[in-house]
Amino acid sequence: MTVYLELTREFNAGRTRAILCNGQAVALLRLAIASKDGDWILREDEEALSHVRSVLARHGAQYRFGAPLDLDWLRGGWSAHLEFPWHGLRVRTDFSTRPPRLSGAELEELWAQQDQRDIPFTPPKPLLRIKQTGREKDWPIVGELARLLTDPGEQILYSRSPQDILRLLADHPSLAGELTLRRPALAAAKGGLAALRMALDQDATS
Amino acid sequence: MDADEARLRRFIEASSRLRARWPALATELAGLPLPSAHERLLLEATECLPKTPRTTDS
Repeated sequence: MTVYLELTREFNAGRTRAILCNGQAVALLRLAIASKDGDWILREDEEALSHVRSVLARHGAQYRFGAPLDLDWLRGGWSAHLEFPWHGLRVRTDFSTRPPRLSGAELEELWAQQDQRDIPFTPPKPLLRIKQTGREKDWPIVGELARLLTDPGEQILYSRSPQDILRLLADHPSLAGELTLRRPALAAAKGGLAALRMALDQDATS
Repeated sequence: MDADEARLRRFIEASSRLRARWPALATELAGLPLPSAHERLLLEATECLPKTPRTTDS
C-alpha cells in the first residue's frame, strides 16, 4: 500500500490532482487488507495529466494496453494503464477522469470534498457507485460500503443484506414508500426475509 | 446493469483495432522512455482508437 500512498502524494504535490479510488480506497476504509493495483481519478486538465505523466516517467513507467494518458481520450471515458517496477514488485497504475456511474455533479462534489487532503480517496458513497458493476465479485464490497453510509435511506437503497434492510425499514418505516419507487425489490420486504433475499438476488439495480 | 454491460461492450469494440496492434506496439514502447512512448501511443491512438466510443446502443 505504501507505494500507492507515496504516489498519491507525488501526484498531488502543490495541488490536488488525483483521488485514490477502487481497491486502494477500499483498503483505506479498512474493508480490505490490501489491493494489488492503484486506481486514481484525475483532474481533467492538461496540467494535472502532464504532472502525473512526469511523476510516472521518473519512476520508469511503461504503458500497458489502454488509452494514452491524454485529455482527448480520458474525456471520452477511456482509462490509461501504466506500470513500473518497485522493490521487486510490479506497480500497476490505472487512471481515468470520468469514472463509470458517477454524474458530473457527484464528481464535482467528490473533488470539493477531497481537495487539499493529504491522501484524497473516494469515500463510501461514490466508491459504492463506482463498484456497482455487473460483476458478482463486486457485490459483497458494495454491501459493506453501504453499511458505512450515514443516511439510513441511502443504506436501504444500496444495501445487499436483507437483514440490514429489514432492520432499517423497521426503524424508519416512513422511508419505505419513496425508496420502493427507487428500488422496486424493496417491495418484497413485506414478504419477509426469504422473499426479500430472492428479490435482492434478482435486483439488477442494486 | 444493462447500461453498464452496453458501456463495457462499447469500449471493448472501440478498442479492437488498438488491441490487434498492441503486441507489436508494446514491444516498441518498451524500449522508449515514457515521454517518447506517450508521443508514440498518441500517434497510434489517433489512428485507431476513437476518442469517444459510440455504438447504436450508446
